[in-house]
Amino acid sequence: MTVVPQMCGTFSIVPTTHATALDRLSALLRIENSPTVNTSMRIPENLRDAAALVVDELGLATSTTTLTTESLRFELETALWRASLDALYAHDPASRPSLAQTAHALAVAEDSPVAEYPELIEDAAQAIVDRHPTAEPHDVLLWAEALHSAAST
Amino acid sequence: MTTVILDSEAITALRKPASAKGRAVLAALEVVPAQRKRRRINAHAIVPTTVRVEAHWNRRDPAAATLNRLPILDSTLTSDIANHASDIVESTGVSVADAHIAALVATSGQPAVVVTSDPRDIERASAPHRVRVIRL
Repeated sequence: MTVVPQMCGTFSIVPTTHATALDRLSALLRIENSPTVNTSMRIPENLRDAAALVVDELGLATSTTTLTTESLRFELETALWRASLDALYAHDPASRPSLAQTAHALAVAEDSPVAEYPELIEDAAQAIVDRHPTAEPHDVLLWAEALHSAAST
Repeated sequence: MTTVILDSEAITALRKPASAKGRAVLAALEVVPAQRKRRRINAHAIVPTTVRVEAHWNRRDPAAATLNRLPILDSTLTSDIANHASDIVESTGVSVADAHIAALVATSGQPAVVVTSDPRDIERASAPHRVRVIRL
């Protein structure tokens, strides 16, 4: 990794490889009680005002800083998860679980009524991919639950 | 918030990600980004540190690079969890690692999904708490 000093005391971190970037991202997100820094990030004015409203008038967050930081952490962690799994699949394509397998795991995690019916989830995945090749596990689950509900009535 | 908890068999399976069990564990881990994206739930995956010991997962070992690259967090055996796990070992006779998992299920207060090859032990150790199990 190359660390390039920038103006104003900030650093631009230039990863040498995708894997190195993932390792660095993971390490950065694991740091607890990191010191805070001022940034010169520019955001649209309307979002700044909307955030102030959420904090000051609606009381849905303790501060704009907390709201921004927690949202940023959530998005970064989500991006890390997606990128880490995709990197593994790119390195070893046979490791990628099927859509039906992932939908079934989701069914268990969400306590879905179709969790006990992996064959139904398999059929739903097959049917949905025929029309929607980019379907996601939640799409399959929704379709499987609809099939299950229709069969139960 | 959903927590996906891995047992030692799941860790062993992840060392061969293209195996049938490896893909099953990866399907369980896919729950994390799926729920984050669609449900905006702060889902994450953890490995109890006693499970890491049982599965010989030393994060400093270069051979663990593939495992380390997945954002699976350590869940340490705190004093409170150790007390709880100790009672579970005493009453059920399960392994320390399984008792650690069950203690986390009991104290999390959130839906927990355990990825395991031995659902019976995990369910027995977690009782009376209900545990969602993805069987390998």
